[in-house]
Amino acid sequence: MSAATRRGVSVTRQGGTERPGGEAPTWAVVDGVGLLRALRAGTGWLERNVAGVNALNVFPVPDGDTGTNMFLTMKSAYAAAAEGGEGEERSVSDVASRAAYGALMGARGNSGVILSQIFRGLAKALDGHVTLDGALLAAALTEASAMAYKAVMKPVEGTLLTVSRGAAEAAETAAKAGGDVQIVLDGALAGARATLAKTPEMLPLLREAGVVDAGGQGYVVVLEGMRLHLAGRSVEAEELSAIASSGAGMAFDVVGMQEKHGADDYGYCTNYLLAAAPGTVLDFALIRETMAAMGHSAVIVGDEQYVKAHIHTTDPGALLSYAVRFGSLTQIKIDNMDMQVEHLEGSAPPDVAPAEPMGHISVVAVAAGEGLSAVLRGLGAAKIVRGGQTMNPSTQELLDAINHAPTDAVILLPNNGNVVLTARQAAEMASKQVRVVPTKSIPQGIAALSAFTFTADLDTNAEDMTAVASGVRTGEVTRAVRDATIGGVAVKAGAVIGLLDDVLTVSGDDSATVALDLLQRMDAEHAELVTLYTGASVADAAAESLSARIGERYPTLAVETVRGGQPHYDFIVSVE
Amino acid sequence: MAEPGRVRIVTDSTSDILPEWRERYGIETVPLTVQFGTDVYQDNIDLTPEEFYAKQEAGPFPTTAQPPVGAFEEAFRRMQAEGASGVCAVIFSSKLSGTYNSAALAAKNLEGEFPVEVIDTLSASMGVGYLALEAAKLAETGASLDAVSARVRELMPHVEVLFLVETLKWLERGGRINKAKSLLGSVLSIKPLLRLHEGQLEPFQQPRTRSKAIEEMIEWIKGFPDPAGVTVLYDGTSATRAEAEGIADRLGPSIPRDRVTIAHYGTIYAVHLGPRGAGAIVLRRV
Repeated sequence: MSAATRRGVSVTRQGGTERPGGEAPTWAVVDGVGLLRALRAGTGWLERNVAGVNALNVFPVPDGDTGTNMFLTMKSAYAAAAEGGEGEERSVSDVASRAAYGALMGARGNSGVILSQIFRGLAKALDGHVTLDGALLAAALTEASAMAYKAVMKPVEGTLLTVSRGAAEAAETAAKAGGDVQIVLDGALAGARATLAKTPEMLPLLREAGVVDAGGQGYVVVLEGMRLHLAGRSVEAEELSAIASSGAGMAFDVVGMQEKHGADDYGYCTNYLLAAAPGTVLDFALIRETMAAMGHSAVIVGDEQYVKAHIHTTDPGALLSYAVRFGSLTQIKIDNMDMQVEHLEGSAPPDVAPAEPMGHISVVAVAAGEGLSAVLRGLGAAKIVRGGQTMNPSTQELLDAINHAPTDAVILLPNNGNVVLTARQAAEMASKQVRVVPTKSIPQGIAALSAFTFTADLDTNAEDMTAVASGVRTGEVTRAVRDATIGGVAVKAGAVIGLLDDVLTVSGDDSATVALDLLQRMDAEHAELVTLYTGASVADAAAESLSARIGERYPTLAVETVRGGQPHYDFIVSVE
Repeated sequence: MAEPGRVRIVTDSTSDILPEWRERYGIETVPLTVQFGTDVYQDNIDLTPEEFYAKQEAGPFPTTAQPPVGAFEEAFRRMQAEGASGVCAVIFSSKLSGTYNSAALAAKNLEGEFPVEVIDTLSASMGVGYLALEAAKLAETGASLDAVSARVRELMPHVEVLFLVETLKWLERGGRINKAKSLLGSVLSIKPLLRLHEGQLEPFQQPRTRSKAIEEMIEWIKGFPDPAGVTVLYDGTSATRAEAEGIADRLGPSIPRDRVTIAHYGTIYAVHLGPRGAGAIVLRRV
């Protein structure tokens, strides 16, 4: 035990010293409960800034959910740490190790996985320590960053990784100068912010998109929240972080906020953006409370100028009438969820999924949308984990599916670039034999499944499926959530855009034309089969019309149209 | 025609054995039957493939029937009359057809009169054909019925059969894919490859396109080093014969073209595969 830990919890908690002129206590040393509260503040602050972080997506697609993923990961970390209670005897070691476990199980998306590694590093550095001083914090941030780099096979600079290193380096400098916890954290935050500002210089894509790295921004927000707490300020009362209010429309993307609706949802899913009437300010807390009471499943974010609402209600008119009293409404979107549910229940293909695995191996796949799930099950997937483009599953969710799969050998298909790391993490943790075939899209996942050989062993299958999947090109048609110019393609918010292998490639006025344009770029002329997965919001007639147009343009091509039911993406196309 | 005193080979029409092999070795083939409503046709005898597919498309859905016990009995007695010392009957998988049952009953009827060994090959198409051919080659040397039968049993595990299914609609109606039923749940169109395993059809792969399926089939064949025999199976129409020849060409140089047989599947398979099915049969080097 170090001298610091023997000083005792009560001493260190009282050990905050008044700074000259400052009202808030400052902290030379932090104990377990202090760390726990700082974590809660970091989590709460990130929650309030989720929309702003989400908006920092390079491509203006409606699935920029880095903020959501990092928040959910933080939330899981905090919840696990909080389980140990707030007893005075809690050590920073215990808080950090529980948080690391929570982050690991709750990690969603690549940024969430990296964040979970940061927690792992922290826990490793704090192992056996009762309290935390400036030097230990700096060492822990350094270990955290090193661990984060290890999470990624080919680390890319200009990302959360770089920001974590910037934070660690600045923290070390502050610690060497004898800084206490607060000063070291100040240093870390300053270092993180400075590095974040440089991320566009390191990654051309960020520069072109005019954004900083979203994961890096998320990390800065977490450090900010912890810093606010140490400064004695409540994250609930603060103005939103700089990013959230500077992003204008970006911070309030309608589509990105929408949640997946399950069978339990009913009524109308109502979304809108309220902007304060000129010269007035909004009483956000009051408005949020009132709106939330008018429906259920409410997600309401905002500040004095804007309120973004997502509410399920039986009376959308009443909600709109209430909101319009305070200013103007835009981005209004109302969906009848009862109809959606009926639609799905009435038309989803019959679930004739094989109860038995594919030989001695089961495949676990990630998918959003009833139709896509049915397609994967139809090809033999034993378990489907809901998620993908809009809601990345957590390590825990993937692990549960692996554990419930009927065999000891499992192949995991993440079907989304942002789920691959989580999948690898789940695979590492599982007690079964798991291989991840790193599919980045649904078409890749389907190609991988169709290359599954029932007689081959796990490794052979994983290799073959990986090889097949990597050769599959994916086209996706969605709508831009903000103005952007990427790779010479300029789009306005709301325009239909086409992505080819996740890269913004074309834009246009209607989704059918964009889909045709994508097909041409995918060399459909020399292909045999086009598969069109239609989104939840696409009418059958529109799908049939596009299918017919493809048939006219490529007479020798077979066109298969499947109701995928995926959110946000009107069409996903594959060519083979 | 085989010399008197030798063991003769009887098989059934699902062996898809080439007519020239039958003639060369005096192999007797007992036909199964296919039935459209009340019209009964002998497998591979009464209908050309084109005629069959036209009837199949027009409906009603055809049914198949194993040969009557009497047909086997008659074949065995004919062998006896021609001076054979015994018969080795090399028969279609009992898990796919009642043909073995008919043959076994016929053999029983001859018990004490004439030695007949009936073998359930657990195989299909040219898989059975190769076994019948190898049995005939050995019988020609004057080998005993026991030796010939032992040879067939020895080779059985070395026969590999793969079918390419253009459409599942016929198999679905025919119900011959218990172990590959999961394929019927596919929302997407697939061109499944089914392999024969322990006498039953099992899924092997689920490619989405025919060309991919054919690639995989070629890879599958090439996965057997230096095979003793390879057959590429097609539907019997001139439209797909060229495709089968193309597959045979592409097996070289590792598998010389003259070791590859092109054969077409009979009407019994056609009932379940429809037109444009394909297959590959490998007799591994023992």
